[in-house]
Amino acid sequence: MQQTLVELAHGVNPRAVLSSEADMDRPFRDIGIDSLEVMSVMLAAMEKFDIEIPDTEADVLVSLNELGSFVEKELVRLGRSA
Amino acid sequence: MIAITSVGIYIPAGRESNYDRKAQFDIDDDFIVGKLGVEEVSRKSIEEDTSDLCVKAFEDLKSRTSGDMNAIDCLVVCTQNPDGGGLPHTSAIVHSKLGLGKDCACFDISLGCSGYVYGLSIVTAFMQSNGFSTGILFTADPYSKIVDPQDRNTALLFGDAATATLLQSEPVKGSWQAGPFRFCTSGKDGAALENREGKLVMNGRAVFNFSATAVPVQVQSLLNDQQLGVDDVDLFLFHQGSKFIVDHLTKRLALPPQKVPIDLAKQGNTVSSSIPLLLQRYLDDPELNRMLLSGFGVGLSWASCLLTRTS
Repeated sequence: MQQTLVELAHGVNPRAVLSSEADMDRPFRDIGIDSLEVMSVMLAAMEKFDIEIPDTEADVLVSLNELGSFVEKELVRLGRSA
Repeated sequence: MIAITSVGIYIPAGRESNYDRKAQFDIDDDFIVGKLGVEEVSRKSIEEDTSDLCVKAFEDLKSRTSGDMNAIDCLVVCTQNPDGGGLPHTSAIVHSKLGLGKDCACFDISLGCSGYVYGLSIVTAFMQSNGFSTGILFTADPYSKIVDPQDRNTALLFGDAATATLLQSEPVKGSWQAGPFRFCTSGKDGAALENREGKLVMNGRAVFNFSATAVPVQVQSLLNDQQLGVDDVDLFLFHQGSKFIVDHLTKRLALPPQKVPIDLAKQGNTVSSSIPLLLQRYLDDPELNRMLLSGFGVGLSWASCLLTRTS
């Protein structure tokens, strides 16, 4: 999951700073992903995993690891493996 | 055959700089230039109303054409921010201000960013079915009437402008014929962009998701149905929602960036005027023979069409 999210993030912004495990927990803005790019990362995740991310959830997912946790929960809820 | 022969434009002189709002909205130069693509938004004066913007666009159109601009069979205004409350319709007010004769059909179209493409189809068909020779499609949707200056989602983005597109039944060589068209609507998602108690409210994420996914499908469908590839189209004129969304569409459709002009920097997103503002630049370019237009936004509504140069 982490590797996939890193690839999605770099697909949106190749300069996103994701050089360590800790970067996965840092707020998007702190790793160089601005508010518009966050929308693009979330759309990429929605399409990659064929899930929906409601606005109420999107507003509180502030890091890649939080996004990853949400995706995994959704996949379990939908009966698909994470 | 009905074809576009000229486009007049008007961008009000008033400006609000996004550089002056960096602290207020916690943005930097890279975001302004690289993402929004909007350095300043155009603002009409307090004295100007929607019909006045149309009149100015018409004056510009007149300066570009040599025919009799008093013999107009139909005058259509695309706006969702009309004079007053829309009663009487703005097109009738424009008709009065231009001093046109009574033998002229006037009506408004209520559409946002897809309005220009819809308008081309409506006016073309209306002219054909009534045997008209001259029609004008205005776009004028001054969002400054409804933008909340404190709203980061909209205040940095939307600018005021108007355009006037001349359509004629006996066009000169090198005019542009519009069609075929594609139209789509997702009314259940309309709340993503709406006027709520007099203020524009936009769910940026919902509008982005819609634009990024729905528009490429429609554009590709139009190309496929016409058995055209990207190489067969000289320019792709997308609604100038933001640089970010136009860049995204360019990437998704694997278009050469040089075929996708972006022009937002000095006026912003001008709603239904953004495509004709771009088009005006390219109408007379002899190197161009086919363009694709695509507008998307309020509704949610999206529409695309081809423009082909007449021989």
